[in-house]
Amino acid sequence: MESRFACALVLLWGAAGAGGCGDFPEAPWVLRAEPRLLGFRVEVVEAGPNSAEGLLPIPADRVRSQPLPGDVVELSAFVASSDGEIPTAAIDPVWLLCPVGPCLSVLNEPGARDACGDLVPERLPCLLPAGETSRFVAPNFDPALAFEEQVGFRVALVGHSTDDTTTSDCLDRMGDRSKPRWDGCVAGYFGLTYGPTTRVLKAALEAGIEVTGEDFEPEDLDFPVAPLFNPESVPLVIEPTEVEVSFFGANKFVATSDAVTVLEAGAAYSILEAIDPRDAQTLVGLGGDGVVRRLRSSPSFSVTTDTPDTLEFRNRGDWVIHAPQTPGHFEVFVLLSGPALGSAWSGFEFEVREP
Amino acid sequence: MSLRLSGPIGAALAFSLPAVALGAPTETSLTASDSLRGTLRTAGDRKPISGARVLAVPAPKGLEAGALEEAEFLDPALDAPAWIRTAETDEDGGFLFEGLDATRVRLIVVAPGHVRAETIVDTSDLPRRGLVLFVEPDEEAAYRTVVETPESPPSGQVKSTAMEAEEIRTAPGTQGDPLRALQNLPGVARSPGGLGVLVLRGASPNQSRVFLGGHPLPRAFHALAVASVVPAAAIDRLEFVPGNFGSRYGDTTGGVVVLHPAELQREGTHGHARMDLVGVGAVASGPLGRGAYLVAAQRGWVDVVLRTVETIDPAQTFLLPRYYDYQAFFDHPVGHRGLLSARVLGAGDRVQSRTLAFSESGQEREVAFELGSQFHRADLSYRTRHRRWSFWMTPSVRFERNVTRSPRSGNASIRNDGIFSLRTEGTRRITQRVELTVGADVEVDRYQTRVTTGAIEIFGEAEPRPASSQGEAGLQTSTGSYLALQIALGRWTLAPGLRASAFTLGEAAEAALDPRLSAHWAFAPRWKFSMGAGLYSQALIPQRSGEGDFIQRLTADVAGAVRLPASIQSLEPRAGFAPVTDAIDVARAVQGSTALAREVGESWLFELGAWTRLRDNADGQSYALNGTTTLATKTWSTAYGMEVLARRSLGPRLWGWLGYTLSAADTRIIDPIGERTDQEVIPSSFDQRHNLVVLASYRLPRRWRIGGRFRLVSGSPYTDLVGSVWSGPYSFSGVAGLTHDARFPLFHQLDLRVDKSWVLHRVEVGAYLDVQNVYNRVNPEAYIYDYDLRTRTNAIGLPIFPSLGLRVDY
Repeated sequence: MESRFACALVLLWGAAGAGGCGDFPEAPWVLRAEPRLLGFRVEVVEAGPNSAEGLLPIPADRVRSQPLPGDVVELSAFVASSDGEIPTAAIDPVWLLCPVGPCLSVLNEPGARDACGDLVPERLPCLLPAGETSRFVAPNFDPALAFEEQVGFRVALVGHSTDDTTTSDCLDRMGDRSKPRWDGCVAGYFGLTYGPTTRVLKAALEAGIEVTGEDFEPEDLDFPVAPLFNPESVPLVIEPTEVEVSFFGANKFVATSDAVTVLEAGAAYSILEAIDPRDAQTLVGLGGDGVVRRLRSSPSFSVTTDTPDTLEFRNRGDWVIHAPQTPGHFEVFVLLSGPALGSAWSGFEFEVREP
Repeated sequence: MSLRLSGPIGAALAFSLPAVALGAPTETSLTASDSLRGTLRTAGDRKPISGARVLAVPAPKGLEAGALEEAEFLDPALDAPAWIRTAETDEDGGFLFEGLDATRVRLIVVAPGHVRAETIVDTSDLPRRGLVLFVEPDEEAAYRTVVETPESPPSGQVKSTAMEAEEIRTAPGTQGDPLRALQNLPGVARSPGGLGVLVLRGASPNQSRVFLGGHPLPRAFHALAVASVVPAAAIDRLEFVPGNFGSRYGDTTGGVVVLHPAELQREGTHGHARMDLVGVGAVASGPLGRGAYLVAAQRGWVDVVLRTVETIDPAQTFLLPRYYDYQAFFDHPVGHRGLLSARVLGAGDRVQSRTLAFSESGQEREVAFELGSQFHRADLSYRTRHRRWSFWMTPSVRFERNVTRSPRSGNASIRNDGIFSLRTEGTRRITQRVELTVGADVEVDRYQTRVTTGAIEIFGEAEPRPASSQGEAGLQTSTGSYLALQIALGRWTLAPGLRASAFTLGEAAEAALDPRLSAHWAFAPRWKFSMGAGLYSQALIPQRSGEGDFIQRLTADVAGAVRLPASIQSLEPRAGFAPVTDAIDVARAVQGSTALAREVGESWLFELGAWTRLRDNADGQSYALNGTTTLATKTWSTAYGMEVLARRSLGPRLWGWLGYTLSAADTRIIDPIGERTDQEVIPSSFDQRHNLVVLASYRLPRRWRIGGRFRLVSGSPYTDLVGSVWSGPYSFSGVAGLTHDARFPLFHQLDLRVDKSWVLHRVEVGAYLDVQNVYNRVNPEAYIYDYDLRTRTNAIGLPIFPSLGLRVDY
């Protein structure tokens, strides 16, 4: 109702009138029947020559998310619908590596769908290996290109979300200059940034690429630094919102992704914890003045559900799970997003029972 | 001075006038036991009634002193009076009876334009200052005084349409706002939500100008287009020239709207106060020495209403538009033929966007972004005639201030302009057939800008970088000189004109020469054929500007992503700041139009016209702050159309019109730069193919008036989303389709308005109910998309919306 009232005053003030508002969009955390992309994950599965030295170790149970040229990288995607998590292969995915500049809109240009080579793509996107996941060698620097043109990429994933179209048709439509609709298609971008910064700069200098505007010497970069890694899912700590909080926190309980958690019908539960504190990481950057700067950063989390009205986002980032009034099951998916696009996801199944 | 009565006049003659309602005396006086002095005034506005007849006859027994009902009026056929005395009122409405033989008399008032009134007066019980009788005006007469069918269009203009104050005041769906009333005329596009955007013949709003008293208004509407910056009370007449205007006006390639300042009246002190959902306003006018004055002010209170809603519902945070404007006019005669006018006017707007912030003390609202704009202007105008010459000179000074502020970041931009403007014009009738007008206008704008950047935290730096501030100053000018001839050749009237313009910005300068020609051919009685063609120029100065993107952001706050018609962006308040570089471009347009008009009877006008406009947008290069120039997509704008008008002039009972516009307005890509599509012709943001407006207002008995407006308009173009790309949790980037390739559905809406007024002795009270969208048609003005931008889930449009207003005229 509040939204409707606000809507009434959106476009047309005072005597000019009020907006007539009907149905509003579903909250973005409610899944629908059509498959939807929810997240991407980058994993460095094999270290390349640039990663051979100068990198500090990361926790043993974590996977590096920040590649350097020459590393073997595996990409995966999180796809779900109101039926739950579904295999990425179900959308017949095509993975593309895109340079700085247009990506999907130029797919019909000659060469735009060629397989990626050893070097970074210069002007048009190229195809990465297809499949449920995509494994490839992170391209090396091209001495013929400026540093800025090859330090950041985008990876694009294109698939089809309905049976009446194909991924190939989606690619055609996305590259069509007459801009037809993309109905039945799924697309997502995510950035693929080489790092840590000091190692990237060193690799570029070693490849003979001039890094302009930076006031430092190669030896300034010779200090060890840890690459960023993907966070990992942990059990959710939740607590009823209507119950008086115990001094000892006795009302808190844990939901795990490998077991069904029982909730009381009609009750509401705050999500207290969803992130492992060990996943906080330090971003290391190098300013133009050659001074190394560090910033500590923790992952954030977002949630989705297969059942409407079971999640509520409150101010200040608080999430509340609402158990339906009637017994049944529903699932909540948690996506962790860390620095340097590290991510992880998992599903939590809840069973609702009468009190 | 009072006039002596004449001798007895035949009762039959006096009483042959229609009997209607009666005014009432409020004061009575007796200056001598056998004389009666009094004054007649019109009830409501208290203007003296001159030339009225007042008859005094013996009062019958049994009737109390005071006003009589119609049933009590004297019927000479049944009750012939023993004697009759007659007086005629003088210029001040005064009358005097001397030597009356009775202490109780019946006074009968017969005044042109007023209803008959009778009252019983006891001459032994009257106040010393004299009797004042208020006589109710005849309802039909109230409109006769303002009917001025415009004569042939002023020379140099193919088509010019005037709207009278009464039409503006009672036009349905416009709340008495002059420029919103104008939107009902052919050649003006429907604006989103009924708000104020002047789109004349498909030209964007910044290609047309509004003038008041010979000088341009910096903007026509208050922020978010709720109301005009000059209310109806401050203008006498609105002249609308949608294209092919004469050489008097320059620096614009669209059309012009000329607001004629109110003609100040010396007949007593008058005024009115009004109140409606948008705001409150008041006007006062009257004599001052040998001259006359008018003061007016209005304040919008939408922000007050919204703050109240926020108090009731703390979760709500609204965009708060606040505005005011004021006018003070003074006219004074100089010599026999001269008139000196002084005018002070101004307007101010502030639009605040606020967000909910959380602090230790709880939830608070803080200003996220604020845009303020104001201008204050002082004009002098002197008009005089000397032999065959008439002269007009009007200097003006104006101060403008535009501010954007973001308190959270500490960023702010301020631009102050001190502008001197001068227009001088002389017209001479050279021969019986030839009239020459020469004139010049100049605007000198001394501007100062200051851009302040708040302290910035840099990644990894211990201390934020301190705030900085940078100022610039410069001078920009616009100068024009013009010449126009009006040559009568039998049934032909030719009006050639020439305007030379020069524009400067710092060291940069551009000039343009614009020849214009119009011709009128009265080929048969009451028929007229007009045509015109000409060149038009407009200076373009690339500027850093501040704009809130308020509507887009607010709608997105309400529910996901919103697609708006392209034209709605014109509702956004904008503020220009420092020029990007010392560069100036001039857009040139060629316009051609024709019109065929036929007058029928006293009140009807039928008009059919066609027009075209081709504009070089001078946008082939882009300027950067560092002074470099890069190529940009070069475009031309084209527009053409046809207009039909069947108009019934303002009259005693009915006024209104049927207007239809068929038009097309496109942007043609001449030389594309950047990402290419297959589009070579893009519908303009303001392309409305069909626009039908039927508007009528009819006076009913007992001071009721009912009016209606029906509109049938093609949907506005917008750029649809064809797809979306996931770019992060809950984050999708929309993929736009071809520019303006989609259209909102056909718009149709009926608005009704009912006015009722009550004439009291000293005031007139008016109330109106204006109901927009009577049959609650859903006319989408915006589409809301689902969170992933793949499907539309809703449309926002104006629902049935009643608006109540109250006005008291003193």
